[in-house]
Parts: sequence; C-alpha cells; structure tokens
Amino acid sequence: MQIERNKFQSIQLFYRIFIFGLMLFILDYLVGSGLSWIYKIQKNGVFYHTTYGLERTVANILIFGSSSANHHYIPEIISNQLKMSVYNQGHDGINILYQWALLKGILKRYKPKIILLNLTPNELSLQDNYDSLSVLSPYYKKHTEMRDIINLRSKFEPIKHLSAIYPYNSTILTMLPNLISKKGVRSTNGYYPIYGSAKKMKIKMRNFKNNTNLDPFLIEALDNFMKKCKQDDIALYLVFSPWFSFEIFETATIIKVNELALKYKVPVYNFIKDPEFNGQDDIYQDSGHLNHSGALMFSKRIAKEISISLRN
Amino acid sequence: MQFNSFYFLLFFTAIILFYYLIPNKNYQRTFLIATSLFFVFQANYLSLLVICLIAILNYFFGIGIETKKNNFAGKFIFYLAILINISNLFFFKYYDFFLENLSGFLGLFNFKNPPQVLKLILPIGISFYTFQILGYLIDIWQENLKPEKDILVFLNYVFFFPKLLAGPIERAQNFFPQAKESKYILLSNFSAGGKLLIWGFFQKLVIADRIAIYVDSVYHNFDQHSGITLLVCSVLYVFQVYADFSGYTDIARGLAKILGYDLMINFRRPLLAFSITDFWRRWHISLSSWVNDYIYMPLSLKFRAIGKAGVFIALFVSFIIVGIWHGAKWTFVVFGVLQGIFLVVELMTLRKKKKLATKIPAWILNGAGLLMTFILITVSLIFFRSPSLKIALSVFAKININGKLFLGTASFFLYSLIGILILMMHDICLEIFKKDIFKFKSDYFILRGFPYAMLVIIILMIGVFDGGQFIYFNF
Repeated sequence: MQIERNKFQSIQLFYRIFIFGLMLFILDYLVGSGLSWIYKIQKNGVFYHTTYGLERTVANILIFGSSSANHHYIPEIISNQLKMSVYNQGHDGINILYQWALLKGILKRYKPKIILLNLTPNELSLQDNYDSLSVLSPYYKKHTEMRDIINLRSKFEPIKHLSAIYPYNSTILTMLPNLISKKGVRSTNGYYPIYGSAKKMKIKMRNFKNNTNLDPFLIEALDNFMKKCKQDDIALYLVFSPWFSFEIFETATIIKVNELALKYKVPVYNFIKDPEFNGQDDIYQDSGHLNHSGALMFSKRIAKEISISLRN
Repeated sequence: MQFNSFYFLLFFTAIILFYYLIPNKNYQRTFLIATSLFFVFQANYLSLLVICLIAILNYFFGIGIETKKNNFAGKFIFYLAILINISNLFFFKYYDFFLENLSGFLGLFNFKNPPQVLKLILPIGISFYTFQILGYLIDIWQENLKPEKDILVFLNYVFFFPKLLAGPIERAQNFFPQAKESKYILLSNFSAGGKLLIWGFFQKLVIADRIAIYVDSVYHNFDQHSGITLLVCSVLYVFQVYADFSGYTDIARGLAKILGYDLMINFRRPLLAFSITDFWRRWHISLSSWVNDYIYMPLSLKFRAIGKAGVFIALFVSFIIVGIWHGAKWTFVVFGVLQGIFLVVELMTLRKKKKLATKIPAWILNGAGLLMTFILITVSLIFFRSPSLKIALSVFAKININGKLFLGTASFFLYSLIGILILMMHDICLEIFKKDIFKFKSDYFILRGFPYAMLVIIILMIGVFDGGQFIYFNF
C-alpha cells in the first residue's frame, strides 16, 4: 500500500516539476529575449558603448581601462593631435580580465594601430571575486572567445548562462531610460565626463595603498594582453593616469607592470608622479578621478607624449 | 557552503534523491546526520569536533538527569550540563571579548602584562544549538520532556543542517516526534517547501543583498555622507535585516519541509507591529519565545515579591541576554538594553495607552504605534549594524534630514524599492486580509505555480547573485 502511494506521489511530483520547469523555461526564454532585444537597440549609455567598441568600432586608437580610462581620455583631443580616429573603451569598476576578454573579441574583427591601456596603482591586487566580469555576460553566447574569462566568476557560469535572463541580470533599469529618453547623452566616442571638483565639494582625499598581494590571474591576463599586442604588431602604451596623492611610492602593481613592460619592450607612462596633476584638488572629482577640466589637461598631455613617441 | 550558493542547490538535490531512496527510517536518520556533519565539516574541523562532542555529552546528560532525578546526582548532572554548555558558548564566543575588556579595565590601574586574546574561530551555529540543548535539558529537569533515548533522533535534533547555521531555535517537543517517523515522498511537502524556498531566495537575493550594497557603501565611508543619506541608510537596513533573516528562515523551513520536517515559524510580519512588545512576538520568535520561557518567566517568578520592579528587572536581564546572544560586542549589549528600556516604558505607560484608546480612533492609535515601533527599531538597529559603539553614536548624531541624498546608482535604489514593495504587499495582505498574494486558488497547477515562477523570473532579473552570506550566520 505504502509502496503504491509512494509511486503515485513520485509520479505526480515529477510531473509537476516538469510542468513548473517548462513554465520557467518558457518565461525565461520570453523575458530573456525581450531583454536581449532591449540591450541590442540601446542608442546610448554604457551598454551601447561596450557593444559598439566590441562589435563596430574601427578606430585606429583604442583606449582600454577602468573608470580612470573612461573619465580621463577625451577621444576628440587625442584624435586631433595624432590625426587618427580614437575610441574610449573604458568601463567603470572593471579590471584587466575585462580588458583581455574585450581585446580578444575585438581582434577577431579588426586590428587597431595603437592601444592605450590605462592602469591603476593597484590594478593587479588580489581579488576576492571576479564579479565585475558580469558586464560581459550579454556577450557570452555570441563571443565564445570570451567564455574562459567570464567562467572565472564561478565554475557554474556555463550552467547559469543556460538561462536567457541571467546575462542581463540587473540591467533592465539601466537600459530602459536609454530607450525612452536621449537626455543625458554626454559621451563622445566612449568618453564620459565627470563634473565638480573635490575642492568645491570638500571631498576628503585619500591616498592609495600598496596592496602587496598580487593576483596571478590578473598578472596572467596582463601578460597575455601584452603578448597578443606584440604578436599582432599593435603599438601598446601602458599608462598610469594621474592620482591625487599625498605621498608618492611604487606599488607592487607598478613594479610588476614595469617588469612586464621591460619583457615586452612596451613604454610605460606614469602620471601618478607628475607635478602637473599631482595634489591639485580643483582638477579632481575624487582621489582617483580627474574631472572634465582635468581630463582636458590630461588628454592634451597624453596625446603630446604619444605624438613624440611616434615621431621617434 | 551557503544556502544561497549554486553549489548548495546541487548538493541538496543530490541529498533528496538519495534520502527518499532509503527505505528504513534508521538509515534515513543516519543519512541525515552524515549529511549534516559533512555540512559542518565544509565550514571547518573545529566546528565538527565541538558539535560532536557537545551533542554526545548532552545525550548522556539528558538520560542522566532523568534517571538520577530524585537524588543529588541528578541535580549535579543538570547543573554540570548547564555549566558545560554555557562555558562552551562563553569560551568560543565571549572569551576574547571578556579578556579585551578586562585588559582595558586593568590598564586603568597601570596593570602590566594583560592576558592575551585567543582569536578563536567561532564554531558554526554554536549560539543556536547551545540554546536548543539548554532548552532540552531544562525541559527534562522540569519534567516537561522525557529524554530522548534513541541517539539517532537526538543527534538529528542537534545536527539537522537546515536549522544548524542560523536556526530557528527548535524545541525538542516539536522535533522528536517528527524525527521518529519514516519519511516518504509527499507532494504537499515538496510543494510547500518549494514555495518557501522561492520566497526565501527572493527575500535574500532581491531585497537583502541589494540593500546591502547601498548600506555597506554608506557605512564604509559614513563620515563622508550627509544626514539624510544616513537616515535613509538606517531605514533601509531595517528591511535588509528583516529580508535577510526572514529569507534565511524561509529557506531553512523550505529545505526541512522537503525532507519531511516542519520547523517553527520565526517571523510573523514584524514590521507591522504596533508596539515593541508586539514586535518581539513577531521577530525571531524562536529566540524571543525561548528567552521568555527559560529566562523571563523564571526570573519574573523569582522577583514577584518586589512587584512591578521585579518584572522590569526580568525584562531587562532577558533582553540584555537577547542582545549579547547576537555577538560579543558592546553594540549588541546596547541593542539589548534599548529593547529593555522600550519594553519597560511600554509597560509603564500601558494604562495611559488604554485610556487614550477610548478617546482616539483605533486607526490613529494603531498608525502612531506602527510608526513609533518602526522608528524605535530603526534606532536600535543602528547599534546592531555598526562595527563599534563609537561609530554607532557618530551615525546617530549625524542623522538629520539635511544634505544631498546619496543614491549610489539610481537603478540600485529602484531595485531595492521594487523588492521592498513586493515584501510589504505580501505582509500587509497576509496581516489584514489573511491572504497570501502568491497563492492562487485554482484547480490548475499551472495557475497555482505561475506566481512562484514569476518570483523566480524576478530573482533572475534583479537578484544579486554575488552577494554575501546571511547576517545571522555570524551569530
């Protein structure tokens, strides 16, 4: 009797799990497809710029890096000086793994002439997790070359990406305003200016620390990035953009980057020590980010430095 | 291994498959014990060693108290058992705190060579299983419960992994009869358990972990934020703790239900409480009822000779214990003291309140009570969240309605509000209309399952998948 009852309950249970699973699959597919469509038709904003940089730009010069790249390099200024097209690929809150994945994706399509890779003083510091790679999830299915890097987030990423919604997790409210309104389009060729000065806003400036524990995955990604540029004959420039610092010192990251630069014979421009930018709180929005005025100064300066380097 | 990890979901699926294939109830229990021990082992060896030792000792203590009840040996065993359990908790959880404060105190008298702290790892779930075992021993001593002679049933009570990490603090009377039954696949258990799991994950991933991003970033640089930001952050933290702990409890109850066990309800819409007394009847019920039964009631009886003052003393002591149960920090002591003060004031003003109720419409009184309770809980939880008393007081002093509100990323703020809105709609409907907004009455399973499928979709859309562990895992 109990065995019969058990059998009946088990069959019912599997039937319901199947129906619920099917319902989830259909809803996931429908909602996921909708999100994917909204993502693709973005006309401005951060997602639009990432897709544009990855799938459409044919600029001669590409700028890679995190927020400091995104807010410090004005493509038009660099372009005017060097007479080459420029696109800023910088993205807030990401690290060198993102840059390496993006480079792999771009090189499948075309080869830029010059790459400026902007680094922060602790770019290679040991990471607790690689969750910032979630911004690449929408490209997981199409750009198979990026998968090994996105999979660093967790060993279950391939399973999680079976969901059509998961790659677009937490994107809906960022995407919707870009569909409805074109107000707030402030970026040109990927550059996003930031306004306001730390001096006026009375923001307490903080110095950077020297994080001595470096992340082997990040070092490997930087090494691969540099190696690939060398192989594809792309002129690579490593740049530490300005930082409001009280005390200047070499971090473990800076030492490692110099070491790799020597290995691949790549020039390094370190503006952390530059007196033109250092310690001037009116051109910073916070300790690590120049405001638009600072970005104007810096873009002119970096363009001049690259120009000299190209002439030599 | 966290409940909100993908690894755990795979682990649990494997457990269910094996569990229901086991035909014999003793083997089922043994399997559950082994699974729970594996779960503890995943955390660290020390936790495994401590819980095994404590469980085996208390199994014999329970039987010893019963058999030697009427003589000195029984009394000795009882007090020894209580002492060992409290010492175990004290040693791992409070020893360093005690030493640090002792050193500080001795430092005032220029005492040299203060004792060194041990920096011990806190065994997982220690506060929860210690209170469970203490309740079990006291119940045997007071003859409210027979000791469990079947060691598999007893070990299952202590180890049972869904409740091990963060409760509920289950009563033996509720658990033992369930642990003695054979478990079969029951559609109703899977259905109810599955619903609890989905709702629990929604609370944790959509609400708690989303708000945590904002709250953590504000607390990280609290001195740089405006008064209004700290105010909003403090209010949001109330929802974060509620969604985090209630979410955990629902997940734990859901897992247990699928395994054929009913764990006690731990939250009953606490943010809709009309008073602090009402709040503690709805918040962390397994802890508040435990403290009520084993601390407050005996103390009130002991102090009844001194009248109202006795009740106040009993209340104060009970809530200081509630506070310090959460952790070895002065912030938790202050949290407990505040609860004690609020409750004493409520008791003292009870008559006036009743008089007022005859003059003012009930909805105004209830509305004011609701608001007041929420404010008082928000204030208390500033101490709960702050890493130190100094920071708590600084935050408290800085709170006002001036300045520019820090929104983080505007979308992050909106995601939090969507989650809170769904949570409060659920709670309000259940409170007023006694209706669960996710439960459809229909003969068709598809219609009944649809709201829960939508919750999963919302989790996938706006849940935070890289959030941290549950707040109450730290206790």
